[in-house]
Amino acid sequence: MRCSWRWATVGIVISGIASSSEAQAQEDRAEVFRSSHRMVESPQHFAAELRFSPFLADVDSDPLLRGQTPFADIFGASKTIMFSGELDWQAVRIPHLGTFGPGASFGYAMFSGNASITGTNQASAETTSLEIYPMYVVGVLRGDALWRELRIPVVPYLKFGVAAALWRASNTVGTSYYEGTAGRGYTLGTQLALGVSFNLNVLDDIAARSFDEDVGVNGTYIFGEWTRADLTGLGFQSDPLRVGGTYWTMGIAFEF
Amino acid sequence: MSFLKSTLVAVAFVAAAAVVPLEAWAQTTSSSSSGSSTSEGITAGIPNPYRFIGSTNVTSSSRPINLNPTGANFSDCEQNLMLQFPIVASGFTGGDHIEVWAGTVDCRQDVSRTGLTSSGSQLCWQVAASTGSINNTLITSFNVYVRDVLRFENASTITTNVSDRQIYNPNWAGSDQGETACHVQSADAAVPIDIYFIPIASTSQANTGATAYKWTLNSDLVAPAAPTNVTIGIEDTALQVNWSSPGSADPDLAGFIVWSDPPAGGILGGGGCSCGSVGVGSASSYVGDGSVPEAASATTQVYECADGATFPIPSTDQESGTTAGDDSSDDGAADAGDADSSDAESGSASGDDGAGDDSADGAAGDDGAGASSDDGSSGDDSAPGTSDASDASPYPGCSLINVSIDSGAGNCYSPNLSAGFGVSGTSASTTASTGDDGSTSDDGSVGSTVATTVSSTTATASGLPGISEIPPQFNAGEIDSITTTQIALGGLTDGVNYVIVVTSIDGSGNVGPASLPACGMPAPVTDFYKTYRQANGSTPSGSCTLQRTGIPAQAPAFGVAFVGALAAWFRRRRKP
Repeated sequence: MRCSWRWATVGIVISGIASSSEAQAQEDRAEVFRSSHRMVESPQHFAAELRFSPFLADVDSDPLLRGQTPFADIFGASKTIMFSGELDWQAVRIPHLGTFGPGASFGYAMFSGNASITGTNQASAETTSLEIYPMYVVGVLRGDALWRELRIPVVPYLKFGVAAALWRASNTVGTSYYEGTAGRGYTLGTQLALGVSFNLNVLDDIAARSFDEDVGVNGTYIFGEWTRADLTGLGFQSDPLRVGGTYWTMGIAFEF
Repeated sequence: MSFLKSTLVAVAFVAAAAVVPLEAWAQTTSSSSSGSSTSEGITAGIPNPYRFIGSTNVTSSSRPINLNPTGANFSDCEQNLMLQFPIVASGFTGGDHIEVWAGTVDCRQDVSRTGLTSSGSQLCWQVAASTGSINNTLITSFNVYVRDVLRFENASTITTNVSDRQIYNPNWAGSDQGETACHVQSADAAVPIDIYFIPIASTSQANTGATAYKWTLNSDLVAPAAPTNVTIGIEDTALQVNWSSPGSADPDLAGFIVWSDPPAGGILGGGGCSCGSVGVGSASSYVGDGSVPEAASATTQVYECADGATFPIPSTDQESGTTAGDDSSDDGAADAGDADSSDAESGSASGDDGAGDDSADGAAGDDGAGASSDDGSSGDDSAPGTSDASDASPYPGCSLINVSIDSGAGNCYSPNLSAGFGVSGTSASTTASTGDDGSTSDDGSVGSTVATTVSSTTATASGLPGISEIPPQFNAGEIDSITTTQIALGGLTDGVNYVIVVTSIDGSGNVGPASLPACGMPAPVTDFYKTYRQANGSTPSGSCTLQRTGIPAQAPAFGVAFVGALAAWFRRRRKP
């Protein structure tokens, strides 16, 4: 998996460079057009991401389960799609490197399966689910110098910070209960992500500039990211429900 | 005061007649007659006639609007529904009178009423007694029995019963023979039959230029085929029922009714569930008389007809049982379960306890639907309980045969629901089953569960006029949709076997034969949280806090704030 991602990254870089050359040609051809338009780039302070992550929670990694797999038993091994959004403030620009600033994210994922008939391994027709609302606050370092100074449309980035996830287990009646305790809570942890963004501006520079003039978006990116949400309590919680995981994320980002 | 009231009623009646069915004014007769006024006209005081079962006015308690409430279905016919038409005749001169005819052709044409064609084309027949000579204006009511309207719908009978067709017999609808009218249709589609109120001269010719009144009865006497592939999913104090629609075989399928024994929501009486304790069914045979003994390899006798349909042996016990079961018909209707005799119907007309739903009316009907093969001959044809001692078989063309009943362990069978098997489908295979052996029980509660899957083939032949007669108390739920093929039955008891069957209902409220049954036993279930906690053995930290603050309230708020911030920024269109 990691190998294939490496090749994908190389592919993106190569195609980006090629597209960059082509884009340069387009820029030349559009010089006349540009001359009649203002060429002032709008200020850039933020980045927003729409994120999609095939996700499988690490619930069964709890050592107290002693090898039992209640999560897999109910929900199976199929991943669900986590939807999330992230907003970063590019507070500081580091010369010849990129930007750095805080970012925050909020997402949603749900696992659903059939409850088992008590005392058996037979699935019932009753649905049970686990909803997870992951969120985090991270520091984001974006190395956009490649793009800004060398016109290579690739922006690697690093994110690290603290995370939390609200979760809720339910059945057909509503929130699950066991011995008087509601099946809902939160789990603390850390968030680490490494990713690469590909700047789509190179594909149509004129459109990109128009997008900037009209809406103020300086750059549009697609990105791929390796993410580790280590939601194991952050040392403050004992034996929390482990609703984090390690997963890949794809998405689209806008800098503005 | 009484005179004033009567006068006002009369004025209102005439005024209403003036504005109601404009169509009626256009029904000008086209035959010749002499000495009659062309200003003669007949109108109705109301758009649709009043509906009576016996002496009970059931107009306001008819079926829902989507189930042909002004028409006639099998149950209506079985209950000998009477339509009462308030009629206003005006401008009559020359001693003309009113005759009431029904047909699928234009009954205002003299030839339609007097013709003797044997070509098979539909003619008209009288459905009510004529009036006497009318001078000027007459306000009256005509009582028209649905059975009389349906009686000659079949072309083969109308051409061989000319005298009966042309001379109205007021006693026929209520007679034993009258029930044969409920079996004149063979396809499950609404058949419109026009009822004409025609000014007739003394010469038996329709008055040229006079205005007749026409009202159309949409009749549908054939129920839709049974659903197939009924499966049961186990839930805690609930069962999930799934089935397959009979599909395109039915042109006016309107929905489904799920039946449960014991009734969903509680256990009534001794219950009839004979589910095996282990969900492994090998074969199932059913007969519709509810008297099948629950013994392995038992044998019983049924009547088998030429078309392969089988019917139970009529018995007095069965008849009375059926009548009792129909007492919850919601419309105050008479015993719909009695397919034959008017006396039995009137005897149970007051049995309405309101427990059923409108569309369930049709469920109480045909005693075994044996009349599907009824040829209209004299004698009791499909009438269990009114057996004619002179008949060798109560079902014309059917003979008594022995049937092997496999009802051993694992069989899924309910005598209470077997009444729905009034059509062929007396043998079918249990094709799949799942279930555990019930040997484990971690919490002391029910540990035995059964989920039996049964598929049906023979019980679902289309066009069979089998009408379910399952007692309404077993009605567990109704779906007024043909695309919804799943329902969850709640309020059940864990550890109790439930027999489930599903019937189809058509656009006229006819309830078809039952599907082959499936059995299920609700049982406690263990959801994810319980599974996790039992495996983990601890309470996850963080639970208490969230229990106070509540996740749903916080989480969306965070998301909304995030999206809102984005939206606010994008609205700030920057123009350098």
